[in-house]
Amino acid sequence: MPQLETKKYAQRSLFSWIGQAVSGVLLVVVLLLHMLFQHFQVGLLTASEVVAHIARPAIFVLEIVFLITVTYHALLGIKMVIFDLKLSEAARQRVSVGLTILGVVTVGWGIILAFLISSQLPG
Amino acid sequence: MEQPIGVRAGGLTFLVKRWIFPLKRSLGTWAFVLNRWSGVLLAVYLYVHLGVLTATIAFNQNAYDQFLVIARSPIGIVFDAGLLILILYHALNGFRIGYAALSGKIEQHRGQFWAVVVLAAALTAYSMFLILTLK
Repeated sequence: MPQLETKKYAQRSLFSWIGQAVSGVLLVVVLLLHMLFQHFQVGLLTASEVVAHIARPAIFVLEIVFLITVTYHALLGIKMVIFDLKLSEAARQRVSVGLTILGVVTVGWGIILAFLISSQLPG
Repeated sequence: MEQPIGVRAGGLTFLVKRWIFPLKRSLGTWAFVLNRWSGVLLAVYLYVHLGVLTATIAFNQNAYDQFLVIARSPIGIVFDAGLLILILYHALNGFRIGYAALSGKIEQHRGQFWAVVVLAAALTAYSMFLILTLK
């Protein structure tokens, strides 16, 4: 069923393209907010300033949204690059599963990191 | 007629040659390759950023403040410039691709590509001016 296979790949490719486009636009918005609150006002923050900054609930949520968006966009992009190598269906599935696990680990790592940083706020 | 990269089957060797040596290729291929390389480098930077923050501020705030000395040095400034151009090119080229696909104005891609390059360079230059003049 080569035609069905081609249609399936085309549909997946379209979904990936839409996913990249939507996450890319969202990423630009949260990146601008990240830069505005984190860097544009006073330049590079010192360690204690970063801790106080991340401990603010709105900034904490913004950073987590940023983390999830950038991880999704980055790993979907990596998947599209790898899929250009014309892999077999089994290899594609292994790559998809591997990148999904990597994404979950990355987001988990980032959330733990944000908690570790914000928990250092004195008082 | 040149086929777009990634569309024609040809295996790893074909793609590696295109990716590493896209010389004598069309402007569209260069835009594609630059978009892919900037994306891959930014994905690597995501993990470097998380790693640096974990190794410094999460466990040792003094180490982070020492890291800031490097970040404010000429090497750090050059790194910032490289990071900015990657982000700006990748983001603006993403908008270019979306605009070209949704508007159907694919035949104007050469002008759009050069607009992206000029805008990314100008915004990087302006950002570097802000960084260098920041007290």
